[in-house]
Amino acid sequence: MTKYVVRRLLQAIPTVLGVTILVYILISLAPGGPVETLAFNNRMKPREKEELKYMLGFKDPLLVQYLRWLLGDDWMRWDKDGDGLADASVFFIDHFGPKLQDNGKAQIDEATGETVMQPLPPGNRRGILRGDWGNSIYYKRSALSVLAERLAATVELGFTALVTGFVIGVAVGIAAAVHHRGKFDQFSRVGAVIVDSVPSFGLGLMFLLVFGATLNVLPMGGRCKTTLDDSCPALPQRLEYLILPTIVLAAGGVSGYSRYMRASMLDVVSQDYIRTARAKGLRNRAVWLRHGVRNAFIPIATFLGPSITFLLAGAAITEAVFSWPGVGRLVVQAPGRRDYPIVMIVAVYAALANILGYLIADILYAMIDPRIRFD
Amino acid sequence: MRPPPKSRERDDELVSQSLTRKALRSIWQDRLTLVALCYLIGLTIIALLAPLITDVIMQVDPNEPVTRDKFTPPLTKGYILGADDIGRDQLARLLHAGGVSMGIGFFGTVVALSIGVTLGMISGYRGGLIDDFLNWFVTTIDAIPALFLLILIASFISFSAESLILVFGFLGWPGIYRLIRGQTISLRARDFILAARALGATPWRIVFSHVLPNLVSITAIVLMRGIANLILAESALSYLGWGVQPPQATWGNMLTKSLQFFRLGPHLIVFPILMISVTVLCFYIIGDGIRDAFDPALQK
Repeated sequence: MTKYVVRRLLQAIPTVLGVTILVYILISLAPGGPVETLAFNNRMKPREKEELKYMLGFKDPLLVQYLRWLLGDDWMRWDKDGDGLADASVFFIDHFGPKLQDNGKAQIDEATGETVMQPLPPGNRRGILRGDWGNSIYYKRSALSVLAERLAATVELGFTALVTGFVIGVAVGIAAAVHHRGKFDQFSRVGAVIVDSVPSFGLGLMFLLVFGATLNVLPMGGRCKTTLDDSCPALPQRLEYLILPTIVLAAGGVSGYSRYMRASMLDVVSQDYIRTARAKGLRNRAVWLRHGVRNAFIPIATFLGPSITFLLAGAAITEAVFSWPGVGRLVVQAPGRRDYPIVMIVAVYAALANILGYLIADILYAMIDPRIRFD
Repeated sequence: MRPPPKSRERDDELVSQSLTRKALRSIWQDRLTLVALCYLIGLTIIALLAPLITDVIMQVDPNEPVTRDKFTPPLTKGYILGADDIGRDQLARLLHAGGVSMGIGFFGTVVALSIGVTLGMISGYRGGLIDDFLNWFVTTIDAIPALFLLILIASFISFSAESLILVFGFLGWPGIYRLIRGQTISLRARDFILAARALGATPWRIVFSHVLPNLVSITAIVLMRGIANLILAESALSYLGWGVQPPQATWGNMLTKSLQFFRLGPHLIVFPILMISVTVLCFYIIGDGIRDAFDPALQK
């Protein structure tokens, strides 16, 4: 078991590295760049912009920039004599940058015709592997703290929606299987497909318009009343904010769980041990609940992986519709804001949530079903 | 393997009914699937003829605003489905948008299927290094939420219908790849593949003329579900502001835009949402119909 978990975690390393490389390449293809975002200020002189590029390391090759993000740059360029300027560097980068003129071009020495060089400041980043995710450009504070704050909101909504969807979905699925080919069965199956066919943002916005704007009984999105310091009171005092997003998210869960639970139940009740149970003269109820449902739950565990991932990474669209300040909404907002540190931390975090979700699901699956063995 | 029945025991119902023929017959008897199929065929024809219908029969330009007619309710002033916020005929726009939305869904899924099925079969059949590499690649892409990748890409290209098809195709194949790879691995161990190999068939021949035909039903199901999912994805992307840009109409951006006119023109919300939901529903129904038809356990 421990060996299995360790092996899975080791396998995750190339995946996470791949994710960081892919997202890094994509985001560096986007026009603009962090310097343009940071220096979006018409009082900034071209020289200052160029200097910023040298200081932040944007004149280095992309690979060096990636390594700086991953491992930091305090080992790349350092200050030996304590004058605040770098005087040594590893072989593949310089610790000198050109001295710049006011128009941003490099100064040329009249006599020699060479560029005038000056030392750059030493590296001060520690890299993500040592927990330094940088500061969010938009929020002006550490990216890690932004993510941590969003995570609480996402888990709150995700957990509510997951439990609601699971409980209702499983109940509907069992009832549909018990009344196989009956009215309820047909009704629930058709209902599940219809729920899947409506765009969730349309459903969410209609709810907001009807219950929030027209009837004025539920809040128009958000997690709580706006406060000065963006904090929210304890959950019991703002339950009404959870109702609509939970309904929209749980609807998808109900349709999925009910369909799988029904199929799984029908599969189980055709097994020999169910016939044995009936032959023993057990009452119908006991056969369905004690012998049927318990075994029908096992295949449902395959849903655990996506569910855990969903719990951690959030539902982007629904969070956007209901202005829910969770990770999912960050996923939607960060690329458009060119908030590079946030884009990178969200990508890595989502990948980790995905890998972790499936790992936890596999472990739980093996615990529920004794027929599965780790090899 | 069951020994072939002796000739005099043969009876008409047992003889030469391929799975495909049985499946087609079962679809023919499945009324719900047939209704959905008729609806979609009709809608596709109308969407393909949309320019002709709006030009010749209705004589309106779907992108031409008539300001004094804005928010005209349905069935008034000659507007069958009313006019939108700047006075464009909603029916004409819905017809044109249908072609774009369904086209994005169809071609996006076809691109994803071509990549996913080809790589899945190669990976599943060959195994080895290429399988390991593709698996790593797919796990990597799959680990990032697709929406996040879409938005990242949208931040440096502005989506048109054509670029959206390509992007959906390139982001959509990992799931198909996994499915096809799994199927191919299980097919590879079957006797008829062994027989083909024993007869000296090349790997390409085995993959394309022995493995591929056995994947037709699953591909058809994936196609139907894929189109439906992409129609929904396109509308969600429109909602976030990253979808196909106006004035080109899609059901998604029509719905998104009209949501702000909730009080002025409810008909502008109802019809796009209806078109999206009913069409997606029909694709799902057909997908389920094909699945049931090809499921040996469900065949009588």
